[in-house]
This record gives sequence, C-alpha cells and structure tokens, in this order.
Amino acid sequence: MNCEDVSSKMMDYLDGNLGENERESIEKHLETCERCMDEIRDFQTILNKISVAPMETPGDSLKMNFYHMLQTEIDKQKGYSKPKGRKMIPFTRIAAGLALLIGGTFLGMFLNPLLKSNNQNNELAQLKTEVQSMKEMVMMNMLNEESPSDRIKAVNYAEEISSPNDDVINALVKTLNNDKNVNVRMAAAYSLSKFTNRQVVMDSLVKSLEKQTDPIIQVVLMDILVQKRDTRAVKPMQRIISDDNTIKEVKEIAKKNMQVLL
Amino acid sequence: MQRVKEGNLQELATLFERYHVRLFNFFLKLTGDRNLSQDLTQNLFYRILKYRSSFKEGNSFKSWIYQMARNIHYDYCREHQKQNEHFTGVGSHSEEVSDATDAFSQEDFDRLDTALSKLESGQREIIILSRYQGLKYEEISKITDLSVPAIKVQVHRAIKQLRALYFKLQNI
Repeated sequence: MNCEDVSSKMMDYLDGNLGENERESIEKHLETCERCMDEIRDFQTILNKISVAPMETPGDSLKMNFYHMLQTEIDKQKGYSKPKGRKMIPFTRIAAGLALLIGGTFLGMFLNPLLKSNNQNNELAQLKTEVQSMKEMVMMNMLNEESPSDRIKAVNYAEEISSPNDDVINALVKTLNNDKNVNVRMAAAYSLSKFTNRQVVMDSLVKSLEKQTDPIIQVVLMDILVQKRDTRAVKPMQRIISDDNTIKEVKEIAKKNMQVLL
Repeated sequence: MQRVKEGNLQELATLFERYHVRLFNFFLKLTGDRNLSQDLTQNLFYRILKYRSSFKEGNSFKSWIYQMARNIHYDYCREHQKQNEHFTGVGSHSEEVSDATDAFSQEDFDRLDTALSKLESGQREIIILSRYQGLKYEEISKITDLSVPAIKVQVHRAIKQLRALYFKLQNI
C-alpha cells in the first residue's frame, strides 16, 4: 500500500470497518511512513473529540411551543370552533381593566408632581401586586376553557407569574393530574418544573409520578425529579419498572434514572 | 410517522421527544446560534405536521426528518443570503457534561467548533451528519442523494480540512 491507498482507507480503518488483511497492510505502511502516521493520529484526535462533544439542551420554551402547536392542530382536526365573541369577553375585559388601572396610576403620578417618592414606591409596589393577582386570575379563568390549546396557553401563562401563590400552583398540579388532555398535562408538568425551588411543587410532582400512567408524562416527571436529585422518586420508579403495563422504553429510562439517584 | 399521517397526531409527541434534542444540536452546529436553532427546530416540527401527508409509507422517518431539517436550514440561509457568514460562534455550553468529556477541556471543544465554523458549508454539514449526529453512510446517502462512496470521500476530505484548521488554531 502506498500513501494514497492508506489515505483513502483511513476513515474506514479508524471506524474499524476493515478486514484483517487490509488493516494489517495499513499498519505495515504506518510503521514506515511518518507522514501518514501523523495524519492518522490527528484524525483520531479529532474524531475522538467529536464523539465525546456534549449535546446541548434546548430551552423549555421549545417543548412548550411544540405542544401548544400540536394541540392547536389536534383541535383543528376535531373541529373545535375557537370560542370567539362571547367567550372571549371576560379576557378582553380583564385586559382592558388592567390597561385602565396601569394607565390611571401612571397618569396620577405624572399629574401630581408633589407626590413623594416614598408614596410612589408604595403605589408601584401596590400596582405590582395588583398586576400579579390579575395575572393569576386570568390564568385560572383560562384553565377552564374548553379547547385544550387554550388551556395550554393558560399553563404557559402561569410561567410568567414570578412567584405564583399556592392557588396557582394547586391549579397547575390539578391540571397535571386530572386534565383529560395529555398535552395540557405535559405543559403543566413543564410549567411546574419552573418552580421546583418550592417544596410543595416537589411534593406534588413525586405524588403525581405515583399516579401517572401516560408514558410521556412519566418520562418528563422522572426527568424533572432526577434533575433535582429527589430520591423520593425512587419508589414510584420502582413501581413503574415492575408494572407490566409500562412500556419497554419507559422502563429503560426509569432504570437509567434509578442509577443516577442511587 | 405513518400513524401521524393517518390522523393520529398525538403520536407526533413521541417523535418529538425522541428527535428534538439531536435536531436542535444539528442546527446548533450548523448555525452556532441557540435561539435561531430553537426557532428552526420549532419550524421543523411545524412542517412535519403541516406536510405529514407527503410522508411515504415504508420510508425511514429518520431520513425524512433530516431531509426536512436540511431544507429548513437551506431556506434560512437563502433568505439571509450569507451561507458562510451567519455563523456567530457557539454560545454557552450546557452545564452538564458527561464524565467521558473530562479528558478534553472546554477550550478544546470551542476550538473544534470554531474550526468547524470555518469549513465550507457542505463540508461542515457532512461532518455534522456523519460524526456529530452519528448517522450511517447509508442514511446520509438517503438524505443527501449522494452515493455511499462519494460520501466517504467527502467525509475524508472534510475531516482533513478540519484537521488543518483545528491544529492551525491550536498553534496560535
């Protein structure tokens, strides 16, 4: 073999795709040719590096948007008519009220130059709380929508609330456990994963994993709990593994997750 | 995918869970832009849903989704008319790096990414498909419409070029 032959077979050689004869003649050439040896060494370095290069994780918004899009399409297929007109009124009203409230407060602040800054801060703080509770109310209302894609919107909306009160958390947990649509449940799981710093969220995720039977939800919940290293997930995962109804893929993922936790 | 085509749209969720991370990384290596890669991935699944009826029964879904991913990237580049310039550098890497990567420093990976970004786009793509995404030559052949021997030659050339760029960067 000359340098050209070796070069053309180099990738196959490194990938282990060659028969014994070819492999030996390449190695024989390498013993005498420094240039080829250099090349193959460099190739190996690069291929190794590529093979261990870590995959990056996309942001959760990708999943959210996907499930929202999927559900919208499913709704369309089922012929859900988008609740226009009457049903939209409450939401528009709330939005209009919110606009008035904000507008009014700011107008008041501009018109009254004597207003002390202390006062201003108080009002701003108060405004903030009001916006927050308005957001929470809007979200709860939206959760009662008939169309699943609207409910997903509600769940996504919950994420925007910086530190939601227990009612919101409870509503999300209820959605995760009871919503009849799997995509809405999924979105609720992702939404809740934003608030894993709260004990009550972790508690309910563990409890929920005990109940869930849908494979995708099981996987997502396990992901969240394992990421947070919550060992309470071990028990429900054992049950998932020993349950005959669990599909093979989920069992495998559960086993992998067990290794991480134990 | 056949079941999605037949109207069982829920099945797409399974396909999404299986493929979205690797396709996100496919776009990320091509563009070096996290936000853009999320958008393109989103766009990809939108197209799959929209054009589900064009999936041919018996074909490989994997090849189909990569074909579509290539098209989406190609469309994006054409729209922005800067096939070789849009690479903006790779953003922050995810925090969780598996143990196997201990032997290489983050610097090494960054250098490799930079070298990759300097490749001509066809070469970059073939390396991403065959090495980063770990697709078989036969699969790449279906995706790109090139013969397996032609792909082998291209991969070899691309790695050779990558090697030159990578070690040049190392010596700076």
